Amino acid sequence: MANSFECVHLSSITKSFPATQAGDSRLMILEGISLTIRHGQSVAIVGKSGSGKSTLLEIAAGLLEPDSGTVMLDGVYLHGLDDRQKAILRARKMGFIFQASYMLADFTALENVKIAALIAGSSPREATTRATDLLHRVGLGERLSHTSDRLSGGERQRVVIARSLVNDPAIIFADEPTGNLDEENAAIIEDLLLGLVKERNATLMLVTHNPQFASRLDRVLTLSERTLVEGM
Amino acid sequence: MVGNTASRRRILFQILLITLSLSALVFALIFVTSMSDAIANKYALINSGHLLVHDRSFPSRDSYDSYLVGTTYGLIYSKDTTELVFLKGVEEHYLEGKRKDELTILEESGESTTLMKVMISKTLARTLNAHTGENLALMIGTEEKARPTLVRIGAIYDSGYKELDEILVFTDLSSLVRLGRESVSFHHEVLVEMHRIEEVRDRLTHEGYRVTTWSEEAPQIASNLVTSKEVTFIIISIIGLLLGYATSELARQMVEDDKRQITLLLLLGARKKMLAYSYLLSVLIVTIIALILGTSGGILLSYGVPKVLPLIEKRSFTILSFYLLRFSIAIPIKRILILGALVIFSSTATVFFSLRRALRKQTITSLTFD
Repeated sequence: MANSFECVHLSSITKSFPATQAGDSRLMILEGISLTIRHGQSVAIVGKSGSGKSTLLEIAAGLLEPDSGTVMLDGVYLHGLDDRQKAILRARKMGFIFQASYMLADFTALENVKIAALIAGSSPREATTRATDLLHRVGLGERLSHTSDRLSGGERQRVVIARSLVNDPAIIFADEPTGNLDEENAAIIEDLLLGLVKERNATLMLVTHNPQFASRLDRVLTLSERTLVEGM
Repeated sequence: MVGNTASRRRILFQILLITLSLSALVFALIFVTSMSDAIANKYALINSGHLLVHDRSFPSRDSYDSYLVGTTYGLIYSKDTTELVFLKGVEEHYLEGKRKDELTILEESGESTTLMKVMISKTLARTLNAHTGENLALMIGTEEKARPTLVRIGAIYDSGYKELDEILVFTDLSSLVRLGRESVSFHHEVLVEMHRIEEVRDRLTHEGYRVTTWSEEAPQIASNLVTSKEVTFIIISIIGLLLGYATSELARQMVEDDKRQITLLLLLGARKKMLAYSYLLSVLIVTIIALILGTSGGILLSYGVPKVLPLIEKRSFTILSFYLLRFSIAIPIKRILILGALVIFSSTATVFFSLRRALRKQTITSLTFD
């Protein structure tokens, strides 16, 4: 039964990939993983490289289909949705931040944030207001008209954070958001992300290698030997 | 939609390619249409008139541009050869007005003679090996009493239409009547614009005259001209359709170049159908720009033709001898519009399917695995 306090609910998730060498059986990545994240909770997933952290995040976000098990996001089972419904869910309920700060190349910082709001159905005026506010909030008020090639790595990641929050999503999925940044910029991004998520009472599911960053979140889970355990 | 310098360069190259191909197609269309129309018009102006009124009582020189002419066939003898000719007896001033531009008088003999004067073409003069001022023998009629009569070459003309020139001989109407008697048939040649032929014919028929059109008098020539024009248009249309298909490659390339951007947009919740329409719009804009540039290029190019053709004509290429090398350009707007519509239709259809195929392959996870 769906619980109104649950934002993410994974039940008995199993995922394997084809083996890289001929003759090998399939490579099992996740086995019987269950996880519940409450609304407003921030959860860090840590683990060794190749342990399947990003795979788990993608399954939770509906970007990847599990071999078995179910995913429920904000009370909605993902496996029953078609592509159109998933797209609407992504636009309105989810925000994404990746290690590489992907921006639309020829678009300005403002347009990059605005487009997410437009896709979610906001009016152009509303989208502009919200995107401008958020960019001011992440400290890019003076960089609204800058395209990605005129922004530093840290600034680009700030644009991505603003974009992920522009539709007030229920949950943010972040995969190594500071992985490509120097220490100073990483600290700024950590503060910004956690501050904004808390301020908006959004749920955060974050994958990181950084134990200090992970320890700042409400919960830390370690993915090891295809299963998820509480703590580091 | 978006893209780097290399992809923009590729798009520009595609625009250039479509533009050049369309220029060539539009040019070919204009060239063939203009030449066919000019041949038809020249034939009508020199040989038969656009309309032929077969009543000698036709009074209407005031209302219509018309002349009474007498025609018959005859054999013409030079010292070297004999040729069958179509003799046309015309009144004074016949070769003025609209007909003036259709003929060039190359040589003219001013000396007076009691012999009947004929004007033959450069082509026929070459075949007969005859020159201005020389005499030829002409025999009209098939009855036993018919005897060759001496005639004098008063002038040599050139219409630029070799097939017509080979047979057509002009003389004055009264001389032809004197010589040909019963074998000469009469009609009034009425000149109108090509597009008004049917309208004027209906009016004259309604007035009680027996009227035929130039194409009814020369069905073979008329149908040849129509067929060549239609066949050319069909071929050009097929190339236009293929050209539209080529734009689907542009769409595929755009999607390939924008793979990461598309993934990002899908991640943000954009739907594939929405993206497909936006790419379709981009390709259509590119196609329409190329279409406008190509059509303008083709039209501009064709306006250069009248300047180039006389130079080619001077070179006397044998291969071009049966082509009309003097004509004015007529823009077949309707056909150009049909060609443009075909290119856009083919482009839209093929681009849509190409985009659907390309976007179907696109997955969101490709971004996260980078």
